[in-house]
Amino acid sequence: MFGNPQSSQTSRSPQAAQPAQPTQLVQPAQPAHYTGTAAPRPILAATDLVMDYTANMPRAQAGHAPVGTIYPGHTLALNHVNFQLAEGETVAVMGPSGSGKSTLLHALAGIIRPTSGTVTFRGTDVTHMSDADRTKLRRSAFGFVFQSGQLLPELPAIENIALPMMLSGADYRQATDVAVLWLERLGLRALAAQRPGEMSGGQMQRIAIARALAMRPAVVFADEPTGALDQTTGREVMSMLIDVARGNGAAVVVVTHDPNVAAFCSRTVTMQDGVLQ
Amino acid sequence: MSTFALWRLFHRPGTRGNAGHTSVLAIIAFAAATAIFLTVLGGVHGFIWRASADHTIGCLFEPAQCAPGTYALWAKRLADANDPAMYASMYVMLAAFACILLVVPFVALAGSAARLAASRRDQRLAALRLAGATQSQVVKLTALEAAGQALIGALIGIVGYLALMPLIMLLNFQNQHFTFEQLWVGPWALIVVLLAVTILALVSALLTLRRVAITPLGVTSRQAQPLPAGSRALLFVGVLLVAIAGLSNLQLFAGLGTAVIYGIIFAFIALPFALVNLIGAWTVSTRAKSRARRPKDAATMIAMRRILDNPKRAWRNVSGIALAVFIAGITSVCGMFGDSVAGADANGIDPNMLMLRDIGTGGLLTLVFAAVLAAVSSGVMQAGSVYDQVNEYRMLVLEGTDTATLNKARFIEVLTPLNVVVVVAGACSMLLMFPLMAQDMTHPITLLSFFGGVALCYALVAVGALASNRVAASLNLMDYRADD
Repeated sequence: MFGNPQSSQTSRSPQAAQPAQPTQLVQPAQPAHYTGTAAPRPILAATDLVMDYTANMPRAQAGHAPVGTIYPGHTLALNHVNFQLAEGETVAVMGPSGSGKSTLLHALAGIIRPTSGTVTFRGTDVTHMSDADRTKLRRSAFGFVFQSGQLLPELPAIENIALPMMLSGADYRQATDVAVLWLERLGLRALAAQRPGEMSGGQMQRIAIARALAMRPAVVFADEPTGALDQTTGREVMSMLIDVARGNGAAVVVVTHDPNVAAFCSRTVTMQDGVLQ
Repeated sequence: MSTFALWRLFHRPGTRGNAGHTSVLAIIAFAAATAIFLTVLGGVHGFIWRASADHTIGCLFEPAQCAPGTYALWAKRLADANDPAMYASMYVMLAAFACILLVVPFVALAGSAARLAASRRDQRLAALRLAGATQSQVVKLTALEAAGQALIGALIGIVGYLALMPLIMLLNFQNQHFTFEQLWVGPWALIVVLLAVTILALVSALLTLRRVAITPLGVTSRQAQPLPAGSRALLFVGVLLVAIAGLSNLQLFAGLGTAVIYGIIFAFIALPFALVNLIGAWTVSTRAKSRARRPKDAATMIAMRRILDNPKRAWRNVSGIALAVFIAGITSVCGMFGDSVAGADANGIDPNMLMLRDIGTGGLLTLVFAAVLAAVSSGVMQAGSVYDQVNEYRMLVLEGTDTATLNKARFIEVLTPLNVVVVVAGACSMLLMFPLMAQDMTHPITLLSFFGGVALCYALVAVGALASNRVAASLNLMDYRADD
């Protein structure tokens, strides 16, 4: 049920039958791009996405216009964006500050509901799901790695990794057993009992990656995952993220400013003023 | 820039955010504490009014200070064995005792409100330090804010005291209802309470800030703290056994006079209660540690780890309930006597029985006040922790955690220490009362009164938890603009 790293590899990816060792996690000279020539089946697709943060603001609520009305004359956070993500594909979303990268990631992950347009995950329209269903979807099918602060400060590393599994109904023993395997696989066994406040930024991000992948998600969303790290540590963390995600057959969407981070992905797209270029 | 100018900068309309919410919570807490304290003080004033020949405090202690002719009449009443006036001074003492008892939850509530005022501002204060504000300016700013909230809360509390007065007038003590004149503490007492609450908040805020060093980089990252030592439990058990032994052998003190014996009984009962605070954090952390070993679900795991992160905070959240349960245990026996005279003709009641009934009623009233103070304190702390954890909540919700799990975690975080408190304080009070009133302990009315009091505590804390859930529901965890 959960992402036992070994069982997931044997079932999904013969090449990763052996757990990836930390020493193997190096930056690829030529990133292993997604090379499918035939049109890949999209796991996640966004069609004509528009996000206008002012649409639900007081002007609309005051009755001057229906909620969701898009007002002309200002920049949309997402301006009629179309995006597709194939199974196992890794995509970097780049762009300057305020270009709409994180908004796109949040819309794709079902965190926010776009003003208009649709997001489908394996053919199911995410935008029209109830909040509860979107919450379940995020928990079961998606993994998240943020820049920082996603680990609960009171929980030791092992329980931080076990948490999503327990939220999905696993008992403590089962969840922590899987968490230990992840820690061992990522060479972080020594951190099992440590709390986030006792770890370095790089160690915290590695734990966050283990947590994101422990549920064997179909897609991992990473928002500036190396933004708070130095270049060397950032490279190691990114390498680990891509490697482990590939080992588990998960697709990855990474939002970043950093071309070095984007280089780890098989495809890079650029956002500018809410438009995907 | 002066501290006042800084304060004004943060108090322009629309600049408050979550700080505004916490201010409202702190003000509510101060208002509740002040209203209840003034109500109890009004009760003390009422009993003094009744116990004094000319209704003044001076006359109560020194007959020579009484208005001419009043003491002679009063002395005649005191001589009448059927007049409840003979116990009027005892009522003053008991009311003052109740007032002192309530100081504990009152200070706890005022302290938690001041901490709320101070500690939720870590981020903003750190930013201020980064911008060049001195440590002294930051401390003054926060203390000023806490004091301001306390002042506003105390003013609202005075209105609450006046609003509660008609309800208190319905109560029957010494076979008569209170009047406005009896319950009105006077303008000077109001001013003193107003100033005392403000100063208390100021001191609490300064003490809190002394522990939280606000550097330009914010508060230091959280690391595991050493848990309270078990030696405290040994000390507590030792004192409890000595108290039980003392209460079981009161005949040893027979030659010391009635007043001394009452004093000894009071000391033997009060001392273990005072020490409950000593072992509170230890018992809570021990319980949390045992549950954290194999939590049954994610909510329990989060809750236990949060308790273990700061057992003192967990204990503080419910420490007021310890007093309420303790009072429930002590007064439940008196309630039984009260019930036995309830049906009697008012004119024919023996003053001794009347006093026992009134002790029962007073104890129940103290219990309700203590429970309300504790519930408000616990609710304020829970609501404060919602704001405190808003970033972590947001991350968890983004990752697919449903808010029900988070609400449940917060509730368990309060419920676990609450259960510990009820067991420890309840058992402690029962053990202490056992040598004195063993035969009445198992009486259905005693048990009903005790468990009724405990149920009231649970109900009020549950209301506090529900209020904090409302606060959590009002947070915008999802629909906020992403940092693109």
